[in-house]
Amino acid sequence: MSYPDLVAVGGFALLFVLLLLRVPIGVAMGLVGVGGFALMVRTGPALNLVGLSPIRTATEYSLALIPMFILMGSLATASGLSAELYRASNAWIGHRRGGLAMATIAACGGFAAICGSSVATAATMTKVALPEMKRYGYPDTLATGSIAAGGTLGILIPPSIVLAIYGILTEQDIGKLFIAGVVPGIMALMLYLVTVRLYVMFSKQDVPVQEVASWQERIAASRGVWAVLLLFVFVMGGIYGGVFTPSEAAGMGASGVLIIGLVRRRLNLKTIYRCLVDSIQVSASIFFILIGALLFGYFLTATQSPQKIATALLSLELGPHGTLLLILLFFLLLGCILDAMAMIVLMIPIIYPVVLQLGFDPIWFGVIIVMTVELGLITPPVGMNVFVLNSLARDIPLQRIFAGVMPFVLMDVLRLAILVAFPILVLFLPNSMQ
Amino acid sequence: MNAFERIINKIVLFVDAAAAVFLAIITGLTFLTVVLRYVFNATLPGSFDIGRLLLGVAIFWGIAVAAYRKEHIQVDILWSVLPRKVQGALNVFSDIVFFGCACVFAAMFWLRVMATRTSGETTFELDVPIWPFHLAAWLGIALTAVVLAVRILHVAFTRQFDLPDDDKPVVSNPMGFPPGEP
Repeated sequence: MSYPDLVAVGGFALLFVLLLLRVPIGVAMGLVGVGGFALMVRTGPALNLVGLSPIRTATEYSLALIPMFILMGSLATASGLSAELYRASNAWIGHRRGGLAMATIAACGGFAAICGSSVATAATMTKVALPEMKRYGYPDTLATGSIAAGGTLGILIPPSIVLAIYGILTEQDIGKLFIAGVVPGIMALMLYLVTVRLYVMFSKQDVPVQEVASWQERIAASRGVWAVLLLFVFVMGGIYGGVFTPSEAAGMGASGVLIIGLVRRRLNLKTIYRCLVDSIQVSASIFFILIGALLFGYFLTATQSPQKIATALLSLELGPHGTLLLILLFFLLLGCILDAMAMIVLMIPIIYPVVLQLGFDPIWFGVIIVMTVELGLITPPVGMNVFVLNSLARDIPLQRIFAGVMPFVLMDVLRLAILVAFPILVLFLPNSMQ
Repeated sequence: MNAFERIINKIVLFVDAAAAVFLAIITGLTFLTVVLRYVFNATLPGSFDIGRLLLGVAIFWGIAVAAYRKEHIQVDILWSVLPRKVQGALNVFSDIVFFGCACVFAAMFWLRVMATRTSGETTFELDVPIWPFHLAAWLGIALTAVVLAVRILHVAFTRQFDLPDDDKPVVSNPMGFPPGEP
């Protein structure tokens, strides 16, 4: 084994040991990155990286979209948008069989359009939708499954924090990535609605039906959401039309939600301050692992690990789609032990060169990999959405929630297969951008 | 909580509030820049540089607060199945590694701050010196090292591990964002 290979193997081993020993991911990646770079080059340049790279990352204006989109979601949550979205979708489709679960998914889709966090979407919708579904006697499996799965829409429907991180790590246009998430996000929403329909068709459990809401009730229920949904169209339309950069869109979105919340008297100074504090805290921990990931990138470059892994994978001669399948299966397995953000920052710098060599479009791959990672949010043992749901609804056992989520997981796999087979579904919108 | 820990707590609260205000300014500047550009066909001089420099300060201060509140993203898969005493020991180990890295980071970043000061580097449009922003960001990393040192010393002197009551992920704030989760 050559010296660079030895350093690479040692570095990866140390990284995984540190992660298992619960060293923060940013610290573990940064430590291995700088240490490995020092072994490959020299200690002096490696230490210089520590002084230079983190501040360069933290003062990169294009990354300001992360705290501002998080703030937008936080303000939307605080102004009670989730409840209004739920009320509106319930008025329109709640009278169908399984209507409350369908309304939950539709509300999740609407909320995901403002909030880039899957876990936040699941958490907020649990508080709003679960009591209602329980009141109507919905089976626990359907109620919790629809919330946990609906929550995953947050990671895909723009703005998506994970897609933004992918864009930063791979130097892809974040605006294009957001727009590429639109069609798969809508597909996910539709297929989840079909899943609920199939569930109530084939389930032996009784799913009660609500009364049909009158047109006046429907219009009244929709009054609270139109402004924010219009804001989403404005923000994403601005990115699509090249009117704003993604960072500007984030600033406009956060300011827009703030103005709407103030005008409608849903926000006060105390709530706004709390949202700002929460947003900067979440952003700081995301930036911290980004800083670690970028330092780790120097180690990867110095050891040429991605190129070697690419060569090894290509030598298997599985063909582009065979290799892609292998990568996706690997991500699915990794989803059993790591959360979404950790998987993206750890694996993308390694896998990305392979994907480029296979000739896949990087924007399309970003969406595919985020969808794969999204599955990890609802599959055992580290299904973050399921854990959040369980922490808010202690009376429903984890196993029952995981059972409820399974039909949605199957639908996710079907969607993934469709989008792998037909990349144009992902790419036609970003390719038509100005 | 002793007097020193109370002081640290107060500093962290101040840093938390200041970082939040910085985020508000960054968002406001971005909004104003776009509105001025499209509505009044004007620019806001220096907004880009001031925005990005404040972002750096806010993020580095946020890193200190996240270290204080143990909100940095970690892998819990092994930790969550270990006995509580071992969990406590692993927490201390992770703090020691983090502390070591924060010290090296603080030392190297200090040299960078001094280099920026010597070079007299300023922002493009308003000619504002950059080094004070870097110094403010450095304070965040220094505070990170201090809060970690306090936690390690607390365990060393009291022999009491600071452990949560429940090992399941908990939604720890009213907005529904668990720490660091996308």
